[in-house]
Amino acid sequence: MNTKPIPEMSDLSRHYWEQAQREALVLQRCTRCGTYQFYPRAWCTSCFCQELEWTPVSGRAEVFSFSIVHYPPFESYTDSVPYILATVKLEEGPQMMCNLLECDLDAVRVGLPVQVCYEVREGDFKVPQFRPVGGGA
Amino acid sequence: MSNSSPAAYIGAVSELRPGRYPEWDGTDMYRQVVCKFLAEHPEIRPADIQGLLVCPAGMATGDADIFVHERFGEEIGIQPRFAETINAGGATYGVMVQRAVLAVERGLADAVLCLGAGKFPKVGGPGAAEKNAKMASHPEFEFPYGTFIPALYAQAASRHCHEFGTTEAQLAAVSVNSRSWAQKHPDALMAAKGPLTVEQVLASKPIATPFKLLDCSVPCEGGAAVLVCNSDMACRLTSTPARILGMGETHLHSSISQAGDLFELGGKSAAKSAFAMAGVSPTEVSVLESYDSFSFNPILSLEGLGFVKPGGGGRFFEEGRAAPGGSLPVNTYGGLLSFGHTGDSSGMSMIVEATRQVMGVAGDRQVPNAEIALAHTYGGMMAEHSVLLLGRG
Repeated sequence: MNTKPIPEMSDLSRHYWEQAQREALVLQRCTRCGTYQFYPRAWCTSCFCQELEWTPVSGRAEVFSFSIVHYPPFESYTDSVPYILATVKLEEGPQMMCNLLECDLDAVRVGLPVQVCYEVREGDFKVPQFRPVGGGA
Repeated sequence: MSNSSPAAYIGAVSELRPGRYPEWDGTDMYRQVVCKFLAEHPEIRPADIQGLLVCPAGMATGDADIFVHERFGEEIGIQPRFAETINAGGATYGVMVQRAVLAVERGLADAVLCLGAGKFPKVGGPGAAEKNAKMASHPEFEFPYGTFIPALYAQAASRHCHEFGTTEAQLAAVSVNSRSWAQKHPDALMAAKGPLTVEQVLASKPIATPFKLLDCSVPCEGGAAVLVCNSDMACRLTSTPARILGMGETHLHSSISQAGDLFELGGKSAAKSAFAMAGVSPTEVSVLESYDSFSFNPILSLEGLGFVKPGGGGRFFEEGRAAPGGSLPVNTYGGLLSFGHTGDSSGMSMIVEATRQVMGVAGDRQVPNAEIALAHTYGGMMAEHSVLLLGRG
């Protein structure tokens, strides 16, 4: 059983996680200036407009930075090392943290093209993750 | 010094020997800091101090106590006109000095006592590692991916390695440099371990690439006191006070995945403000004290602060230019890497050492003719930065 953490969602982020259960990646987009943002906020950090629209995005990204973790930080990761903790930059601009799944440890590099995928955790909860485009890398 | 340099000084510093003090809680640690400071400066009386700045006690254990200034004002026996419990992680004490300078300049206080005492988070107990990871990363959008502090810092380090070809051997050279300085400091935790080699660092246990165990600072407990004061008070306390030549701060992101410009993580804007205020350039700085919770950070600081070109930091350490006798000694007290990382109070060590260097009281590790010292501290995941430029008063 995958006992990795289930995020504690807020009213602000509930839609993001609900869409993730349907395997859709959505970002807030400002109705005034058009900027995409992540993570969810009550206002647009580019222009302070409070009218934001949830918008499906491509899920295409590239690796911005990463670390191959050898030392399990807490119990639910004991059987997962080594794993990759990465920051990816989405095609639409925002950056997000994730793990790189189905990725050869020798092949991970900054700039690697990746695509969103979903990891199933306890209670069938799906968490957005990324894997190399074309698989394996 | 320029006309815009503040008329404020550091007139006295004191620091506990880093170590493990299981018999002391957060309040006891503060008390020990005050005891040592008062013992070392017997000329100071309660009426001399009109300002008190402290950090929340017990942050590391998750039981932050934000009433420290209230309780310690009473315990020390003063009724300050200016007091706060403030926190900016590792940048706390740099920020405290900056607040104290403003108070002294404005005439709110002749002297402001800045105190810090800390215990390093113990992540061994049940749930403790998760709690620590949630503090260091976004609890909803980073923590669920298995975060912890080394892997979060590694996000910046791996980016730097990619952009500039910085090598793991260059990171290791930073740890080696710190150990060589630590051997000159009687209180440094790792002094007795003897010199360190690049090979030893590279062969140490892998934690989170590019970091191995010996790329990480040494957890311990400790604390320090810094007295920021006006010229009269400074002259009463010492013939060689440290003048505040310039200062700057920036508060960037909270979550490392949301960080922007890499060089801001090395203190770029804070340094720009400090150098402009001081009217000096990086080439005039004699010694650099740079926050080094990981070996990578002083490399980035050298670049961000403007001492070397982007990408030149690794080579600087590899060539021994930061070592004893080098062109710009870095972390002359041994750094968090070899002096010890005293948890909540870690950001004190750079300020204490920079002060001692320009005061000329740094013992065996004294840099000859140390006219100007720069203390760069940061808090969070390289998020909150303070830069102080100190000169011979």
